[in-house]
Amino acid sequence: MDWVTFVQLVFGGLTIGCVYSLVGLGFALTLRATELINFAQGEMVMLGAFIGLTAISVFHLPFLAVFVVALILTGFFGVFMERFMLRPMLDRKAPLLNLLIATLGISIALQAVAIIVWGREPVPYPEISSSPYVDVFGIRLQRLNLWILGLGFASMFGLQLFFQKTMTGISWRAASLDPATAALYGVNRRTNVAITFGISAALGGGAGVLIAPLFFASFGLGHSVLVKAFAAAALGGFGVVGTMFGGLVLGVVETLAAGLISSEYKNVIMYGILLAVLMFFFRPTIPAGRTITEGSKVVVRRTVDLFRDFSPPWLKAVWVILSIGLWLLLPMVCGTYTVRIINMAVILGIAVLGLQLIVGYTGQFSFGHAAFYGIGAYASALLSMHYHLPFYVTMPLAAVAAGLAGWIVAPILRLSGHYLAIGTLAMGEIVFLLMINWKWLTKGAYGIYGIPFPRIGRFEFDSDEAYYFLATVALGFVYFFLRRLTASRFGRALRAIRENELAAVVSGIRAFRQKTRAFVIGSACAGLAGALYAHYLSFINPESFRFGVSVEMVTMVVIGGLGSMPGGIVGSLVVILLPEYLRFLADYRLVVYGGLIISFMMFLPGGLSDLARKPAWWIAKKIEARTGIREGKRGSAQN
Amino acid sequence: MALLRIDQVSKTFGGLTALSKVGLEIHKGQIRGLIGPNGSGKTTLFNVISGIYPSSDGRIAFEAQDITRKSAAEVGRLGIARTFQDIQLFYDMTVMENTMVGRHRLTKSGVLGAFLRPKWVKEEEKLILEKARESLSFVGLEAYEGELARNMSYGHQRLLEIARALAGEPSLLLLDEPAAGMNQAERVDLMHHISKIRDKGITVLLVEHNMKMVMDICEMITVLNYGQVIAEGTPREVQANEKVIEAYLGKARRPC
Repeated sequence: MDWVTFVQLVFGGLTIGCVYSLVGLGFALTLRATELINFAQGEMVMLGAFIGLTAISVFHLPFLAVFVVALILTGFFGVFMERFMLRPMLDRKAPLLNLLIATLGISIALQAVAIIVWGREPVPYPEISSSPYVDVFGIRLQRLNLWILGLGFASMFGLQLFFQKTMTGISWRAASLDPATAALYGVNRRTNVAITFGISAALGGGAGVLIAPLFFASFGLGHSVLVKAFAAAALGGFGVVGTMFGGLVLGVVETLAAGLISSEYKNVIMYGILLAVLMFFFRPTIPAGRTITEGSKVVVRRTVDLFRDFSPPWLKAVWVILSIGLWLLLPMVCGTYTVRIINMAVILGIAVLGLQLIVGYTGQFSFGHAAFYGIGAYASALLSMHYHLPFYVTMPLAAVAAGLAGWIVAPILRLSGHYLAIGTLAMGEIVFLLMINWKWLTKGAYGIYGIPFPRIGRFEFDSDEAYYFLATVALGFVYFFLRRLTASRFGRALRAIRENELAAVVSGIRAFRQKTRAFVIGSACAGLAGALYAHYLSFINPESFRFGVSVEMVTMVVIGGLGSMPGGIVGSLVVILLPEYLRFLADYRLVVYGGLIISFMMFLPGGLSDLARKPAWWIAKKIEARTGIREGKRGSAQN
Repeated sequence: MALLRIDQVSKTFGGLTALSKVGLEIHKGQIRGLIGPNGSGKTTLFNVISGIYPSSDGRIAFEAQDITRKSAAEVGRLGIARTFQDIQLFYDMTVMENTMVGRHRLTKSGVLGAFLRPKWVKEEEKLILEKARESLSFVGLEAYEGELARNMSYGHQRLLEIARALAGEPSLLLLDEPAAGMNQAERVDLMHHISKIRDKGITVLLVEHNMKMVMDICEMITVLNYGQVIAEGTPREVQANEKVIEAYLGKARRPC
């Protein structure tokens, strides 16, 4: 490669890096002011891109004005978002996971709105100037890139000036270091947070205007820069200047990796760098304790186990007969279509139970669970197609493969909180990219067709009704297995880690080892579910195992209720069935869905378990009064 | 032979020296007091002993075994239990479950045992329950076993931490200001419990600000100031020690 090409690559890298810096600054600022990662930051980029597009094509504004308009409008949106969606939760010290999911809900709703307003297809920006190139010392540079660099640097310079020279900026820095002391000197924390969200969103929106001419404006634009922007902030230690440099470095590394190594693997390299940075610099050295005033990362409500603790034998018999009857009757009374949806919910439910063990019991965030679901699906599909192994062999092997993959990536469990959330997200993206790129194994994005139906002996599970029984039996087995697991010394250790890692460790619990076990078991459940999925649809491709599915699974866990296995099942049924019933809303479906997620996080932080808890206790008290049975064996009680 | 032997242990945080060449030997069956003005390094020493912070220098031996580089979990498994100055409980677990976790180090059933539930696992679980109940009644919390830890009163939360520590039948118990925030009656009760713990054969290392309490129940007292041991001896000796008086009066400007 000659040096001119090299310089051009570096120049291109700086351009894209500048955008990462801007978006990353948004992450850094919100993280420092509120200790929250705003997953909707990516959608600010998208919003900026579309607002800019409208400003150019409808109002024919010049590029500089477009940039400023997008900056201001998204900034206002950021303030609005903080005031009406996040502030009520921040004021309540809502658990971190709920906040993260609320921002994901905002992100889903905004993408859906964008699709309604601007359509699904990526829209190109009109050319911003007549001569696209300028020559500087014999090197041909794109005029657009100069615009991007100029505006990007100007915004960052302005931001730095704001933090160093203005009273508001200085107060902001003081409050981010020590909110309590700053409050004593009259710094209003709420105003500060509102300012932060405004600035962060504005930076994202500005970045959107800058990046859209390169990549087109599309509803998925935010997702493509989200992780890299976060990596930029992490690389820069979440400081203002650090993040600027972090983004530039990453941008250059990315273009060089694409130019020198391979464009297919450039994102794998980027996510790999993020994981390395997180593991080296953001790994807590001492286990985190928690005093009673401190909020938890996940909220767990104590539920009553009517079946085990409050039912006399005759009532247990009634429960069992009723549920078996319902189970047998369901496929007969429901139509095939409904059975099909229920099957999907049941299959996903198996993976969700595994995730419940990881998130709800052990308190470890995982935003990459779909990766293991996918690994199981591919493992079972490939084994049955290439080696003609029967389903009852490939399904356990799929679980083993996913468990093994879980074990390989388990070192990321040394991270905690948001860093773990982002780490698992990056891990999931890497697995997705490998599924796309290892074409010799997975056939890439085309996916695998013709995966055989499961067959045991001469019986083939080729109808939805037959599959219903297969899937529900698998779900029943996993449920039973996990119930036993969680009601034991092992389960107690996991919950101890969730509640207070410091106290758990001091009691002699090897936290990392137990987390790894939970993670491997949870991943294996996902693998099992993946196998059922692959053979049910008989077609799989990497898109089915991407970030969106991981988020959906976490949503299921939280909506069902953390730390409750029945909650996991209810959550997956609700999240799968709800959009079906919302079908009449057509394009507005995902807006409503995102809105529902946000409202759940705001008003029912404990998920549906919150609704079930009171009636369940009421029934328990009635039974207690009638039969004299007291809640026995409290020691092994679930939460 | 000392149960716990701390030899020339130092701990620095960046440029700040929190502990400097601390030496301490605790014999079996003692109640040893550890006192010193605020910021003198008592809690840091606890954290170093229990493996939460790695020491910067020096050696720590427990029951003739080197534990200097061991992790907190390993130290806990060897039989050093502790409580925390800012109470650390499993808030959304029941009082009983909190205590059962304390016995983790003495039990061994794992994933397979939980799933297959053979006889020995059932018996182990029963024993855990029994022993946990025993430690709960030892501190007088048996009536609250089904209550969530977060709903307990402050004083009871402190006792629960002790019950959890005792459930693991430790040989050494580190108590970090167990009487903080307790009223007079609760404090007397606590002193009574600590002596009973000693009578069980458990050695106790006690950090406490309440001088009367320390002087009354400790056989030996070590005084830290600015991360260094400035005095060691019986309560009477320590009370008469010039350096100790200076450390306290010079800093707090009030008699203790």
